[in-house]
Amino acid sequence: MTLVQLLVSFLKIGAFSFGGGYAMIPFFEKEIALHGWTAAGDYAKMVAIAQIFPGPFAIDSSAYIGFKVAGLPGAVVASAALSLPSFVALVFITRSYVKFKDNRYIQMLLAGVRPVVIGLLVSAVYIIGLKPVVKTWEAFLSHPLPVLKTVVLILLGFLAMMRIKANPIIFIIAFAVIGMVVF
Amino acid sequence: MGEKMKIKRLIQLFVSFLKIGMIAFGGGYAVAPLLQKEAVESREWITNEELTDIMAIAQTLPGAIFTNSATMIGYRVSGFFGALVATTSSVLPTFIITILVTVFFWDYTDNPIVKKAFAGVLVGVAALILHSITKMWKSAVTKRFDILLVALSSAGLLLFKINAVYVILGIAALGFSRNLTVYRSRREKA
Repeated sequence: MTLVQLLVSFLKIGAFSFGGGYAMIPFFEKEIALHGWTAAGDYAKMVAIAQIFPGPFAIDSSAYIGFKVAGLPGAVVASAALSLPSFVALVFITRSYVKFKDNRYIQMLLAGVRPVVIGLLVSAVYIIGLKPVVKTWEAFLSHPLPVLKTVVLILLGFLAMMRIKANPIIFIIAFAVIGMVVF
Repeated sequence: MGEKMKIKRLIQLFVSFLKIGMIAFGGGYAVAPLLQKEAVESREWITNEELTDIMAIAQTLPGAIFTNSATMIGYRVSGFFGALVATTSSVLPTFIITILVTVFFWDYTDNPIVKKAFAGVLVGVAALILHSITKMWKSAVTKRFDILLVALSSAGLLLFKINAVYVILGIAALGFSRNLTVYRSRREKA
């Protein structure tokens, strides 16, 4: 039963997660909350660990959630279901990809849906950066320091990336060290 | 193509994408130079122009750019089974590493120092996502109407907690109708 649930959820994520990568975070978050698949905060931990791994972040997330829910079969079902929708679509597209690329209506649809990726990324900034520290409004007012620290660090990191275009891996390691010192 | 040649190509696809999967750090477009070196220069499976097209299509479809490119390159090299082999081998290293870490190292992540390091990493990731927003803005937002769509989708996801699937469907409908209307009115004028 759990495997069927995993299959349905990950097929859905695979079919709709335009933007890939970090833009997928809101999808995973929603399904985890809906089914109570992992403890709160565990998925965020996975996101942190995934930063030092190679390969698609989507597979880190699927394999991890699938494994937590139903062991190795769960991991296989989740990863395969996630990859299936675009696999099928791309096999058909590659067969006639010149036609696909130049079809006017497909262009209109793809250009129309592109802005949503920005919205998904904005949402991902909140889920990954702020949600772990912002519990409730009251808690924020009585203990504003952790939230303020986080906001300032996010902005500093962003400015640093704009300025120096650091290698993401080195950037992540630097933030691990900053975390040990500041939090 | 002989049977032997076909199998040889499938093995080549498997090895190439397994190799790239093991060193594809950073995600997204970071994989472009690796694909260029392997699929264009070493194996001569596709040309540089084809790779550009493949990356563009891989980017517009749901899912990871790397996996999507693997499907397309695999299909061009060896049809359906080529696509299957390339896609599977592209995700295999990440899949195995994730399972190993979940089984063997998860308990160590409760260590207070490790927890603080993770909290720091998440802050860094949030900064990286902000940075990728600025990079993607130019290709995602080309008209003033798109800014409205960005605002609507952000508000839907963050303030109203609407499921991302519905947000995508809604924005796709709005964006498509808008582009269609603009196209029709331009054609009427011309």
